[in-house]
Amino acid sequence: MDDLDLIAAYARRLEAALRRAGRPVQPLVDETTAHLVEDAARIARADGCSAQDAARRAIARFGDVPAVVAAARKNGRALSASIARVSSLVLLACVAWWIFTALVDPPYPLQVKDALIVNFFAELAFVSILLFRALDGRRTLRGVVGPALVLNGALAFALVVVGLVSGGVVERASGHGTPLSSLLADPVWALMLVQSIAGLRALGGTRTRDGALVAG
Amino acid sequence: MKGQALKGHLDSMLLASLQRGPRHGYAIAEWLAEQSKGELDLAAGTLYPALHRLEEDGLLRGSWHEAAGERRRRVYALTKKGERALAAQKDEWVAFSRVMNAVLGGAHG
Repeated sequence: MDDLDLIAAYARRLEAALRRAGRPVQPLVDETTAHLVEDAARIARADGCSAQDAARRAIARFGDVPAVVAAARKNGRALSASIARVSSLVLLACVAWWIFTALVDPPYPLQVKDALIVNFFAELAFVSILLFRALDGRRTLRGVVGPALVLNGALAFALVVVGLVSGGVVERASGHGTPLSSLLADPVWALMLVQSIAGLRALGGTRTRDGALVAG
Repeated sequence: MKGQALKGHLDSMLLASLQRGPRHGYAIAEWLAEQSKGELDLAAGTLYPALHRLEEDGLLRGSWHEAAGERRRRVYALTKKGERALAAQKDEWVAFSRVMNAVLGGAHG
């Protein structure tokens, strides 16, 4: 195993431990690798030791994986990431349930409006999957997940407001219900809003000057 | 000087490391080691999560830089909010250290 193998193995252990801890993987893993490569080169130059020894010493100076993960936990905002993940999972389950009941095993003949709503659920699933990947630090999604979450949140907000106003008016006119009950009747919209806010908060800290989102 | 003694001061030190211009994580760790003349016993791996938190709080701004033939690096710079926070933390530290010097100096006197 050469020096780069040692550093790559450390980076893999760190990445796995961060995932287990529910912490964002990037930009920490890439920064760690760059730091270790530079430190190992410097140690090798200064002390004349082998590249492998230099890599081992650089890793020792950097700190063991549990210490780095503990620091990431201590400094992180895991709550928003957890909320974003859970809300995305529930929304994906809603999409799966809808596909099953409306398309696979419809209790009634399909109508045009059922086909139209496919777009809505497809968007919901797309944003949920994007968010999951971004929280895992997939950098290929730079610049996509942020606007998608903003649009998703804006749509959800509009639906919630319309639901509250129209539903509340209708229910109060019929003598029962409150604006809140109409919100509870459409939990998908409220959940979309939660997903967008929590997702942007979880990812927002790593918005870079060039506008990239790297989920760290 | 161990981590416990640094509690509450790491943020100030990280902000101070950037007051003369943007640096990447390795340069920040080096700067801290140089300034403390090796007195700080700080694992570099714990610096990065703190940098990320300061970035989340809007005190730092991070961006990826890539030079030809070099590994890409994330460079951190102070934001206006970070500059104000650093100035406030410096003032607090000066006042605190004056009190501590008076008290501890008095204990010996």
